[in-house]
Amino acid sequence: MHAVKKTKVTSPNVSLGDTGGSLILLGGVGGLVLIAASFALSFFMANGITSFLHVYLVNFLFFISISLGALFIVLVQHLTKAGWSVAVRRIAEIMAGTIPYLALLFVPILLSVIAPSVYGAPEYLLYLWANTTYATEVLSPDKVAYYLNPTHFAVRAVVYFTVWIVLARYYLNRSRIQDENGDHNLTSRMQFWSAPSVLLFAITVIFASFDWSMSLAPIWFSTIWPVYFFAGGMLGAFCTIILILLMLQKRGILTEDVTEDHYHDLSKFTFGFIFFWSYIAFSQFLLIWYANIPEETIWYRPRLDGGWRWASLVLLCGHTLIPFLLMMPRTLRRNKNYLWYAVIALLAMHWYDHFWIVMPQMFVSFQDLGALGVEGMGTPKHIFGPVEACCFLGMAMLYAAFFCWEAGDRPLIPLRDPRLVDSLNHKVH
Amino acid sequence: MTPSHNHNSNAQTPTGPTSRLVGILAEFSSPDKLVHACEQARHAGIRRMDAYSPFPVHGIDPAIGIRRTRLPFLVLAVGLSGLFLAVGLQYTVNATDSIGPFPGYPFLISGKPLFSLPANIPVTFEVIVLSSAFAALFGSLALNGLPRFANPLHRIPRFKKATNNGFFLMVEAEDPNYNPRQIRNQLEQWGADALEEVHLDLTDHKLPAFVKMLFILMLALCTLPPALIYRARGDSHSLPRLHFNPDMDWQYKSQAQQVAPNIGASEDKPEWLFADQRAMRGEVAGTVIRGRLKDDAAYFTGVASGAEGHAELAEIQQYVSTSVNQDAATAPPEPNWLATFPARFAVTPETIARGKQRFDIYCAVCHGTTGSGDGMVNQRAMALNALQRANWTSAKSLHDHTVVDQPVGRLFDTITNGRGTMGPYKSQISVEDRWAIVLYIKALQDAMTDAVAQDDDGNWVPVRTTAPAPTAPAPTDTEPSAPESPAAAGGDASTPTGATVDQAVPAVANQSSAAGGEAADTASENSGRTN
Ligand code: HEC
Repeated sequence: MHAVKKTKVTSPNVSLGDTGGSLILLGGVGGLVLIAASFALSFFMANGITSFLHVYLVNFLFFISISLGALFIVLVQHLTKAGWSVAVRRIAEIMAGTIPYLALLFVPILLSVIAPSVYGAPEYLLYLWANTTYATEVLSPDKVAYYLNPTHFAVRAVVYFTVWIVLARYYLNRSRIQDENGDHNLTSRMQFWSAPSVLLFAITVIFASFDWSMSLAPIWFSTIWPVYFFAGGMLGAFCTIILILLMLQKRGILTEDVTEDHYHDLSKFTFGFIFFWSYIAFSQFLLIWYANIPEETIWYRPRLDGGWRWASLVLLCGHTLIPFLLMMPRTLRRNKNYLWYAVIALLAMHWYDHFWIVMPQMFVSFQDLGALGVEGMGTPKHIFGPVEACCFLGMAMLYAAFFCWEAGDRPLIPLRDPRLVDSLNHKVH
Repeated sequence: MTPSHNHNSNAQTPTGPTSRLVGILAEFSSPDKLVHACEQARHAGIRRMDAYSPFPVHGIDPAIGIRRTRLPFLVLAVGLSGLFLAVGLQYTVNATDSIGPFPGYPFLISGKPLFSLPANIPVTFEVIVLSSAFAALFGSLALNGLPRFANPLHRIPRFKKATNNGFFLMVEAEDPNYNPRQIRNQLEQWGADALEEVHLDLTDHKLPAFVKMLFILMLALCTLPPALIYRARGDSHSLPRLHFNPDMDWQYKSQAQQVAPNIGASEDKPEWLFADQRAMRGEVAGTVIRGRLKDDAAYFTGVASGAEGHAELAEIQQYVSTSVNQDAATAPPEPNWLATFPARFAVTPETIARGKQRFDIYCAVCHGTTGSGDGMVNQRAMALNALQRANWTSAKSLHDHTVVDQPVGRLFDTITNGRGTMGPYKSQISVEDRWAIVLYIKALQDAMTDAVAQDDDGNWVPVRTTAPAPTAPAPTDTEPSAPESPAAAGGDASTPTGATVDQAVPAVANQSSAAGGEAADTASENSGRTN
């Protein structure tokens, strides 16, 4: 009965094959069409393009946080010389490999910041600090404007993407070269570079999270914000890896090599990051709530008053309490049928987390600008509807297309990684 | 059990059973063989057995039929109890008045509700983690039947290999399917290299006497500290208290109001940390403490001009100290009080509102919300005065002409440094707020210009006292007027202004009847006491 030790990959299929090609076409075209539709639809809704851009930012943050999480997972596997994860590492490598394409999706956000000053577009599109009235009347005295201005914002974004793309490419390419020549030195080299890479990753993600989501409330700050952003992204990345593996296996790919035990460990990490996220989110909340200083509570006020209060409770229950209990039992973590539902629900909550961060800020910005006497500002209206749905579906399809494009017809498992055997025989006891 | 051992125990106690068969121990050469044998044994219906190996062998748990541990459920249950315990404790302690016979401790902290979940979560979280960790540790010990003092297996020399290179299966004799005749053959068939019976020695299963003694001794010793504490209850000692951490109790550090520490080697040849031996250091020459720069003398002192900065402060201090010791001859001249509000203070509806708010907090208790001198403290104190149980100077009506006529700078100074029996408020009220209060007093006085009120006899009299006729020597304020009537303390006012004041104040104060006459006598009464 004692199982024979596996020595090499045994699945009949280890690459996407034809499915990839059709998905690229469908996802690419469908995705662009849907995003365009969302953009067009927004003109018929209250707040027009401003609300479209906010929704767009929600989705962008959702996907970039997942890809960044995947990049970090790759780095950490090398940093810790992890054996168990080799069989699933390539998925994370490819997810991180989509960052160059996500950089293209960042362009509309960049434009929203640059456009008002260059083309005289509407005064308020996405970031309040890009509004000239606000920048001169509120920010300058705080010297915040020196950091939050279109030029510096753009320069920093270029730096972040450069760093991430270099890191993601480096690890994906090395790993693929190893598929061909089986050179063990590549593993040592990747391991050597993983420590500085983690540092670079940390620094860039810290500032990216400040720039892209915290700066929506320009005069508010929270030093734990990057950790919050990162924790959510890690959760999203683990869920996405599980989801992709489930989908691949359903199509008969990697069926033999990724086992319940891999799912079990991935789910453990998912569970860990559910709680890590909650811990960070609560730490941020508790300090601000307790100290009760206006300059800090301004961020929570709109989220705890009125309708958003219920939205916040949904986050508390859906992102913390319920998943905490439902991802705890061992049997559930090993049950693939269950995991389908669990990770989709968790990804939905992760998306909702960004929605909850971004959207209320739009209302606050409208009011702030109204108070400054900017024309046409005041009470905004917003209803969840087709704009959101199209934008999310479109970007999800694009992401799938990016993934398939990066995956190509190449193996989805590091075929000749020296630690592959450990991973194939991985057991959780 | 080794034959020699068996022999020994037989020799000691020839009568009665000396040992009991516990089971049979089989040794295997490899983990695979061990797992295989376990499976066979289970197949043969044997349930009570255990495997021993130097390292965890994969697949051994299902092979010997070990069920999944129930520990997680235990931990969950205890963790949940921890949750209820922690939340319940915080609720009963913080948000209720009493918990059974014990008083509760409802304590309002920064305006948060007495029972507010966010604040309780950290404690709850820690209690859950702690109780779960304990449940996991002690639960696993209990479920494994630990701790155990001895195990018969340890008497078998061969078994020592279990920590090195031996793989053992022990089949217990108590198993219903244990067949003493067959089991040896069966085990050999399943691949055992060596077999050995395991016996529980019944001869010396008792605790050795010395262990018992030690145990009792320790228990007895445990009662000592509580006994000593009991004996020392309510005790007083002439000896100094013991210092367990002298390094912490006596440190080289500067404490307020003390001599600088001696950092020299001995007491005889002291070497002071600071040459002048003072522990408290003054300001470094030429510097100002952050936020204490008083660059605008008028704004910070209420004096219009004259000496600048600190010199002026000194002048005011001197003035205040002498103003308490009333003596017309030695009283210094009045400073040049600021007549209008300083430029740095903005006279706006907001500052008036701020002044009202501060006034109601700091001044209204004595002077009353309208400034007529009828605050609750004053009413109560005057009532006690009437019973000869207090000696209180009535808080002055701020509508008294002696106050109304004062320049704003002087009012500011009254708040800052106090006046007469009224204490200073500079440590409690910020400069800005003091000016706001002055502004509010001015507003109150203006509002009272033509106001009238009924006095005790039902006559309508002006609320505000008017200045005396120009013929009478008009004192500018209470202090100069005070020395004129030291003898009148407690009696009727005898200053020339007395008549006017006497009529008006009862109507304003409208307090206890005793307050009537005395309120007017503030100045004389005050001087009578302070002298
Ligand atoms: C503890 C009671 C008490 C409080 C509180 C109090 N006062 Fe007085 N105040 C007095 C008494 C008593 C006198 C009369 C002092 C005397 O004549 O010896 C007085 C006198 C005065 C005078 C007249 C001084 C003069 O020139 O004769 C003014 C003005 C005054 N208070 C303003 C205030 C203001 C403003 C506040 C709030 C910051 C305040 N007081 C708070 C008890 C109080």
